[in-house]
Amino acid sequence: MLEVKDVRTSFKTDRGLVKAVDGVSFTLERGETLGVVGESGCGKSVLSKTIMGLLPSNASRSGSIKFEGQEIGGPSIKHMRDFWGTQMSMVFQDPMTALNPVMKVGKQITESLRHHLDVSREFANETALQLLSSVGIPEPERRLKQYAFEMSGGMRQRVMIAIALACGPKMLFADEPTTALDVTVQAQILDLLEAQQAERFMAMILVTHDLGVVAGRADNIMVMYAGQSIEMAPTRTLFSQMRHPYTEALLKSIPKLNQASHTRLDAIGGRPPDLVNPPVGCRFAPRCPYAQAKCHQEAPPLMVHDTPGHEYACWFPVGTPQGAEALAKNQGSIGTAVGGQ
Amino acid sequence: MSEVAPMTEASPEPTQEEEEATKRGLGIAAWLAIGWLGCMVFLAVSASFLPLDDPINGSIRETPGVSYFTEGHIFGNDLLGRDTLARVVVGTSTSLSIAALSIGFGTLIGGFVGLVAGYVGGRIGTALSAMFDILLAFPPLLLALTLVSVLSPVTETDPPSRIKRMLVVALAVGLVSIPILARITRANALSWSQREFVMAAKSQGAKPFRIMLREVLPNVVPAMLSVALLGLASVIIVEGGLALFGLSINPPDPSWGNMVASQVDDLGETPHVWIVPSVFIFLSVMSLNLLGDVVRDKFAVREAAI
Amino acid sequence: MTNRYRVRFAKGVAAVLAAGLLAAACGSDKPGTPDSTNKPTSGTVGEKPTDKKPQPGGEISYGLEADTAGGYCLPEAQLAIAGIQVARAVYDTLMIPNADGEITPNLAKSMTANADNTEWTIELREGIVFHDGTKLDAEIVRDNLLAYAGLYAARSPLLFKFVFGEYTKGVETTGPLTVKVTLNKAWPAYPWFLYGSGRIGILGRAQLDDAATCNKNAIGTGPFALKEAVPNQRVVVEKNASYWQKDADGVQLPYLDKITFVPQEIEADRLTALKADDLQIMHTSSSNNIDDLRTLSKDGTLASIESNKFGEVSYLLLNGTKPPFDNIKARQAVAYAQDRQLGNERLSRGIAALAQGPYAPGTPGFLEDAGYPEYDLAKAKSLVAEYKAETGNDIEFTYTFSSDPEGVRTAEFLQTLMKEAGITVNLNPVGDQSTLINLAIGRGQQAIGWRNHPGGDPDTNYVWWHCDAKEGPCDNLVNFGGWNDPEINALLEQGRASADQAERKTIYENLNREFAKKLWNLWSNYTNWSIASSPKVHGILGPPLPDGSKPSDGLATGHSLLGLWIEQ
Repeated sequence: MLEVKDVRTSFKTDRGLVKAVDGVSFTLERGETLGVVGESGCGKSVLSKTIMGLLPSNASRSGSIKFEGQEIGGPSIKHMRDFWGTQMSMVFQDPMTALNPVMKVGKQITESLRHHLDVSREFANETALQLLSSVGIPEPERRLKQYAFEMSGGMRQRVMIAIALACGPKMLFADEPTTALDVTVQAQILDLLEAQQAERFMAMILVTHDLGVVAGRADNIMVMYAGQSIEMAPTRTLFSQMRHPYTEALLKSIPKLNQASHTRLDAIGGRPPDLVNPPVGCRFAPRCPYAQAKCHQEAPPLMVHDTPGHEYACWFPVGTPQGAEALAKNQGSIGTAVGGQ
Repeated sequence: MSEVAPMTEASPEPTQEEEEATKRGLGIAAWLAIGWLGCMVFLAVSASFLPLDDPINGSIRETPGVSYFTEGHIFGNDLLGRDTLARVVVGTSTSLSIAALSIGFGTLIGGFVGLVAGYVGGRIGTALSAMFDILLAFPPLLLALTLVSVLSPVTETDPPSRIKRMLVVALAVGLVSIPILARITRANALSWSQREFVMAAKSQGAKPFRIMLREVLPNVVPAMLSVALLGLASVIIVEGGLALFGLSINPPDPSWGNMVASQVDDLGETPHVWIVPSVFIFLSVMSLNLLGDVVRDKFAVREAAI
Repeated sequence: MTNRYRVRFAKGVAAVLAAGLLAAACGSDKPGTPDSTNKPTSGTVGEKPTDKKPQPGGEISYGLEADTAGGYCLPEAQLAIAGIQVARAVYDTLMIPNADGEITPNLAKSMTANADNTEWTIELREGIVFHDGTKLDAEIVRDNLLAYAGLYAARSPLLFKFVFGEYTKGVETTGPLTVKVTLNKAWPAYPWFLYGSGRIGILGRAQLDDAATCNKNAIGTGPFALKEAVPNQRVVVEKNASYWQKDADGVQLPYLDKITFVPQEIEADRLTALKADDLQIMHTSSSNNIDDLRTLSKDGTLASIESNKFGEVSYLLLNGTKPPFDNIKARQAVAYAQDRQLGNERLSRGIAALAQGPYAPGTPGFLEDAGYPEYDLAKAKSLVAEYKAETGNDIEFTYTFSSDPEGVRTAEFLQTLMKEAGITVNLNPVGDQSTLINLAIGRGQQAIGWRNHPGGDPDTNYVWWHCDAKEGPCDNLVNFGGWNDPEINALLEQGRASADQAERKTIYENLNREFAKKLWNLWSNYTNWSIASSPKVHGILGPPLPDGSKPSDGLATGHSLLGLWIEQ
């Protein structure tokens, strides 16, 4: 349903052109969930906004985005208005700021309903009521007449989801939908999204910095680094045979239930590269414990290696003899390649 | 419908801050200001129904220029035997109408232009705000003076009617207030346009005009209201300034400014004739400024360079 | 404050069309408590003779009622009284009036006419030099006179072309110091016009021929030389050490080293500045100031000389070409409805001298009673009814006036008075004087508040009233009323042609009575002028004139600065 090919997005800034998304391709079918994972600033949020066409005016995009066979990746976003809401919609990270503080939540739901579907006020209200109860909000009649500031964070996010779902989109972007929420509520919201996605048979792109969030929920996972996709695989495959050292590092940074509570987590040393002047070769190389001279000179191509459907870009992949050798070599010569000062 | 985890948490308690804000109320000063302005509005609206003396044709055969609390004249009368109370009440109606009309006009145009400049941004926004800056570079009184002269040239024999003259003055002052209101609206619209809910609305397919009016505008209103209240105060003063140049409404119709201006060449002769409207001007301007500040504080309107 | 009032009181600009044509109507201001001091002025009062010897040196600040924005290129300038006062410091006129209402030679040594008054020979004094050192000779005087008549290429005069252009046939030099003026018609009062209310100063060559900066580059033969002119701030003049006049004791004139003229439009503020000694001398025509000055000079705090001699007259300038004032009944109705005495009490503290005609006291033609209508409401009402019967209309007119506080009060008072008689007045305030004057030039008004006709020789008013056309509206553009009155035309012509003073007096008295009958203008009052000063300042009216006669004690065209001195 969604076919993204070599999409690039850059922003004009005073420092130069920031290449926030630099050649990403993937496909997504109806009913599937794609998890997009990476650190902050890796371009994952920009990617979803690029596809949605919600970029600010100083951004430019190229490449091809086909939605149900129709090209929507052009420079003009005027026609996107027909897609927004009905074909694709988005749940934002922070429900505090994503709801209009001076408009009743009921109004915010019915606005787009009435706008797109041209339904009567009564019907729109009825639908809003159903939507609110379907996202698990008790006493929906009362809530409809409330303002955002009268609700808790979790409830606001449910309202956001209700708004996003109002016009029955075929595709939902969830951009860090739980980051701003309490841990106890995160799972509820994720479950809600998953349930709605299944029920409505939507395609969903779940953007997060937390591999743990997508672990049980996404069909496929794309790991992004410095604006590029560096590893993509079905979820099970990715967790069982991850190949990219960055994916490994991300995984190591998630707390695990079976670890002792005081186990030290591995943080990834160093910082993501400057997207105005990205390093030559593999962009992760400066921070990579496996990196060899070749990595600093030549960028590894993103390609399928052994398992079908599992593609990655690395010269010395994790779990391969080359990788093990490279790691050993680096551990022998202390501190050569490990970036991170 | 699928199973959905029910909400477990209770709706949040109002935060401490919110509670304080509610408790704090408006304060005595603000209520006094509202009271005074309420009286002024009442006088302005009912001026023609109140049992007042003729504010235009005085009793020139009576003793003129008598002071406060003289028989039949609480605020005395002027040198043409006209009751100061009657004139100041009718003047209230004139001055407030001019203030309300011009700020209404300025808010409408300035608010719209500022909203567009702030929301659309880009080159249009830059061009518009450059325009405001140019307009703001002119001293407002001078600009108003010029505009009144241009809008109401005195070449014809027949002087413009009171209503026409009032509209001209209001239009001139309103034009002057446009860049001020546009600028503050733009600054606020700019910051609100970058909020996520605007993008959220956009991602739901709302059209720019709709977003501007439904999403951005309501959030900008408090700032506009605050500035408009201060603007009303300024207009009252500017009207007085215009009157000094003989460019407010035409005599013999009274306005606060006209009444003060009529005495500037000799403040000592019949002081009550200018002191009474001056007190009206002073209290009204102070009240409006106070309320403007209250609105700003209440809504935490962001300061923008005016 | 000065700037705030600039727009309103462009008094300097006011006199576009000259002769003190200030537009603020009737004398104004407020009624005071009835007081024995509240009497109209008569003639000139307040001059206190001093037996002190003048002390040369020192400087003073002189408060003026307005700045003269247009500068001092005299043939083209539009000087009101403030400008005239400065011009009298920098320039000398060929002729100058004395206290007896006669015109006497000044820069000219003599001025003589041929038998039919069509050729005038001006002989100049020897040894006079301009501030830039050039000599005053026949050639520069000839070129000045040509410039005033609009016959000199470098200059394009406005008003003075009306005054001189039609009459001046030619000007030629007949010797190094002799100039002969040939006129088209007899003009016995021509010497008066070479005083021209103090506006016809003789300019130095460098200024007269200055194409671009004539208005700033002031060069005259006057007692003071222009040092600095800052618009709206000050005009500074310094003593001309080689001035051509000395006093009776042989002391070089002028006495003062420096005068700083300071424009201060607000009458009350000017007086305050004088009291604070920020100014040492000022002029004023405000009734309030004059009333206050009477008290202040009585107790010796300040000195003041007050005069309406040769003054201007304030009046309602009507348009005689349009309804309602093309009908004498309407003019009469307004005249009878005008309770001028009440206005004087209410607006001028009762000190204004009500006018019977255009000629102020001291001017030939002045009459204590010219038969001008006295206030009579019943008569006014019946005239309104007659007008209605005749034309089918009520009397309604628009009154245009200068929108300063005095002007506004006067207008509102007029409106209320007229209402008593059933006459509707619409008020049309005008912020700047030039609009008012342009309106008058186009005869767009119905009635304007006006002030004009300073005294001296009554023939000077010929230009304002005379029409050449035998019928129809007046072909003279500066007859702002547009009326064309055969009797008045005839009297003006007789007055101009006659050289017999007694006969002229009768002619102008008849003219005065004719005006009271025809009511083309509705007279209000004669303007009072007062020169107020610190008691240390003396010699305001100046030393005797070059021919030995007493200088004019009229103040409407300023006063001489020659004899001014300050105790040190």
